[in-house]
Amino acid sequence: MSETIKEFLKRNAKVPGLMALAVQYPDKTVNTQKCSRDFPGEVLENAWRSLMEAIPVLKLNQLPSARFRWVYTEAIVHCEYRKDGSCLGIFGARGNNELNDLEIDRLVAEFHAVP
Amino acid sequence: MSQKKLKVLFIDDDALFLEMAQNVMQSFAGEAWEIHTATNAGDGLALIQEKHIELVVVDVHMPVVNGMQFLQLLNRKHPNVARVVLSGDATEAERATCLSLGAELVLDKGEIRKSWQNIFRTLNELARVQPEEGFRGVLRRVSLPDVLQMECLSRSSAVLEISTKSLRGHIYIHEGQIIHAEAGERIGEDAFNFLMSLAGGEFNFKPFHEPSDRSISASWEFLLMESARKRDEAAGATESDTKIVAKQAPAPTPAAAKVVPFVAPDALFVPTLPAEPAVSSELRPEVAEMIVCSVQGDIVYEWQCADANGRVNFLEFVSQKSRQLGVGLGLGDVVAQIQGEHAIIVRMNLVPEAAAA
Repeated sequence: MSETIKEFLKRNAKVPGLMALAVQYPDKTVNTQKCSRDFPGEVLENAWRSLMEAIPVLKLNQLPSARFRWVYTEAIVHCEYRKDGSCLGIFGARGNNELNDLEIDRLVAEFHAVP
Repeated sequence: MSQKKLKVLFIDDDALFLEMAQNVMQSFAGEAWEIHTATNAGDGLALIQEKHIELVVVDVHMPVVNGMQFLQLLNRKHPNVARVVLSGDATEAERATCLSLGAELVLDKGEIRKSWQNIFRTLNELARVQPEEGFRGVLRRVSLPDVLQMECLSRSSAVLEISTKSLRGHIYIHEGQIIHAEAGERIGEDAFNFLMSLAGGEFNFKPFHEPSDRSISASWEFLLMESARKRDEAAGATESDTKIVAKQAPAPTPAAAKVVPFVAPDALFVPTLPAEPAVSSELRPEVAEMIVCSVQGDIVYEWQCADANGRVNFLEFVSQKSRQLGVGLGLGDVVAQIQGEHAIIVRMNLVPEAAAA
């Protein structure tokens, strides 16, 4: 599975406005793909793991955790779970060169469809 | 010129693990870290106080005082210390509880042994992105009366320093008795009641030293009861203001469904897909609960909140986590505040249109 996901990550690395992609698999391992030259790729993996810590806290608070989004002034981080327990993180720019919602929808749909 | 060392403390009842952690981490950190170890919570707390520890890595499973209880103690006495929990076999619920109690990370011991260098980088990065100010360390994690009660019951001697942006005050406790208080021009019970009425701020315990005056002779029980009575009186006087704030919260109309339902002080956190909500046209949102709190964590308004403190903890978690990510990844600053000084949770359920009408 992870090879196919890796291909999905690489295939979408050039999407306009996309800063990075990350996936956490059910076994907690992760793959990341830096998509923007300016994005601090060296801390991406740790940041993604840290962000994934939000999931059990959501569950503890009996809040839905299948999809959620962090919104910053210059970026959004959209997190999307699929049924097998993998979680996709989409790090998109806001403002100039913004990652548009249609692209987010497409990435999410493709992620759900990847075997 | 030598750089300031990061003071790190590892606490684990496994002495062999501690020795390995200290040796390996020191080899990676070189002169950048000053590493201390403790095999129990008591020794750990003493070291935090004595060495001004900035980052604590604590094992979740320890005898007498476990990691989760230790986090609670840290929240009370050292709220500004960054904390990471080590776990060999913690359940998901335990991990979530640790995170809710303020742990920045829960690290798997097995993973640590596999990749010490990665753990070192993670801890180093965590220490680097600690917010200079924020929700943490404010009085809401535990109330001042609780703190004082704890100190008095244990017959401690200490000076409790309470500070806000504009003021610093001190309460002197000697062998479990409150003997003096000072805050600006105020001294004695006046200063004590003033400090106890503060809505937010930070506190630190300092070693006891004799005050310039022993201005208080009443028992600590009386003082706490009296300050509580005065706070209640003051709260009654401002109750109408609070209600105005509550009435300004978004109304549970269908239009409100498009409003982001979860807002932390420094990031929006949206557990539903806002771009294209996959919501049937036959469903409409119905507000299930609501809570509004100040940045100090004081609850301004709550409605149908079964666990208000839990919700405040959750907002704090989101606040801290979003700040860490924002700084670490350069994602930008605060994006949204419904009101400059408030955080809000509105939980909604989707109910059939007919049922909601």
